[in-house]
Amino acid sequence: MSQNHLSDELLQRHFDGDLDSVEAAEAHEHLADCAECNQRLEQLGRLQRLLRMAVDDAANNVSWQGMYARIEQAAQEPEPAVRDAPVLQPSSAARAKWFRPAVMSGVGAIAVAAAVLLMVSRGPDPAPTDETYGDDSDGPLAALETSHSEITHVDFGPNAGAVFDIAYDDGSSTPVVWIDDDDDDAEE
Amino acid sequence: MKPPGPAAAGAKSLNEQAPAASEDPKEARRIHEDDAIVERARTGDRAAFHELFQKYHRRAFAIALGVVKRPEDALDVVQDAFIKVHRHIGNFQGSSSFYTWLYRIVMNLAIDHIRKVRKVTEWGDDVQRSDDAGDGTLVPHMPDENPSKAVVRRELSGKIMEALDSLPEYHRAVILLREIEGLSYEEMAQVLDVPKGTIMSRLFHARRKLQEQLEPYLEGDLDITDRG
Amino acid sequence: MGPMSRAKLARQSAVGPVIAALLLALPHFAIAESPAAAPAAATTTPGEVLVILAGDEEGPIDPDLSTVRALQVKPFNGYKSFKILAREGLKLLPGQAEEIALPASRKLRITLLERRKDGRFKVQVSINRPNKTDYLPLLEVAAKPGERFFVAGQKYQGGTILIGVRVGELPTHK
Repeated sequence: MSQNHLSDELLQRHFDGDLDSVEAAEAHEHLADCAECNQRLEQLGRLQRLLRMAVDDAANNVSWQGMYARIEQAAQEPEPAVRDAPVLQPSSAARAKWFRPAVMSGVGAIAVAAAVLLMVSRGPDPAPTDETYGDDSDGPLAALETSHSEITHVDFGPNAGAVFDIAYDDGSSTPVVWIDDDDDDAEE
Repeated sequence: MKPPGPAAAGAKSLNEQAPAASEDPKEARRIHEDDAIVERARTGDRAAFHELFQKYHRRAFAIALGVVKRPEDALDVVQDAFIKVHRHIGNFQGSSSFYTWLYRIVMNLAIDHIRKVRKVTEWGDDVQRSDDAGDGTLVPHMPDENPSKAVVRRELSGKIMEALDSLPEYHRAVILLREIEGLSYEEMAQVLDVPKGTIMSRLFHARRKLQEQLEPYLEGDLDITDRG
Repeated sequence: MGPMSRAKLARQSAVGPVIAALLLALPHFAIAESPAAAPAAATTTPGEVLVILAGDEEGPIDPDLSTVRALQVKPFNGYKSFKILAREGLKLLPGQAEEIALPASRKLRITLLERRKDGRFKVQVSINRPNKTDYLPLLEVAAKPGERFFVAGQKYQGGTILIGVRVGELPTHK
């Protein structure tokens, strides 16, 4: 703590209730006499009130009843098994071979029948954008951005196949590449 | 022998971290009340599910807004989240609190949302849309008793959302988790999986940027922040 | 989900954000007048290939698979038995392929290409018989550290092969 004023860090921690009892006592003692630090504290409070007001207003400007009605309606409908998946091109050397449900059975048929059947490759990564996360992109939102693994390109060669996601009830998912294996030599 | 259910799975992901359970007695009571409502909802009690929606839709909205930029997108996320909850509450094992579970769903959907390519529109334009029956989009808020105060307030809210919009996502997340959700530094560090020091630094910079952008509004009379 | 009355933006496939910088050190050699120093050791990334035989008939389920979430939900939870055929730990170096033997003389080849700026690993996988491109010529994945993706469908001994591939490790939480 400087002789004259509370540091930015201390002031913020005081505002957010993060000081231990000793620090809190010192801060209170300083604030009893320092108009400038009180002004800075008040600014933090004002900002907080403004933010809460804006989020509150945004939430108030919504027909939540309408949303609830749609939620109830949608929840009665069957959940899609898969998300939209990338479309993939067969390699140029491949025969045109389509998925044939008749030759699959059991879980395999269920799995692929639930997936998008004809897919096209995404292609290469796009050119870099100017978007950066700055110096401290080592964790949170960089990590938040990468919530899932993702299939970016598949060449099925001569086989039919599909790409789909296994969805979990917390919203996360696991990508699966399914390849229709009708190779006569596959069994040992 | 049937494979164990999903609740037994040990897989963890970053976004499965949710705010730590509070020792606050009020919070503990809330969680206990939720257990009873959730149990009813699991049996198909529609009124119970509605209670959960009523309790948490605004918090879900605030969480989503911390990740996605626009209120419309946050509303999409909230809607999708509660649809998921509705569909899967029968499978909810109670290994975490309901709020934790909802939080994870909202976060995952919000992150999914911002990964998709979309056209950015001016938030102000969308606010003007009126809500026909069942459309359920943003509705114009009915004016307060003081109409001019309501207009000023709406303009101010617009400026604040613009300022929030201008923040990088890692700043927007901490400012909303702190100011709206009231998470502590430790809780935010756990949720976002970064050190506490990084949280404090980001919060400081986020506040500094917002203060710069909203300087005129921070100096003036703020009695419009309260709905009289 | 049926059509919603509320207007929703069309969902499109995600676009990879930025070209990642390599975070893993590459081996390098010091140029010096004195005897050359040993090249710096490259950092390896751990990985795992889990090969499972899933059966349609009632049978044992390997207890080590109880933590594999994907087997507990649709569609894989339709299988009645699961057996681990192979579980191989890997130490992946960028640009260096590793091979795992699979049933029916096939080999799974995995190459870690780079670590993306978003933290995910860009990996290439192929499954073929030697000198052939007859099963899975090429698969590219942006793999979240520690999370599996699956390649499935190969027939074997009356069951189906499910291959779970994991690159990197899950972040540790306080």
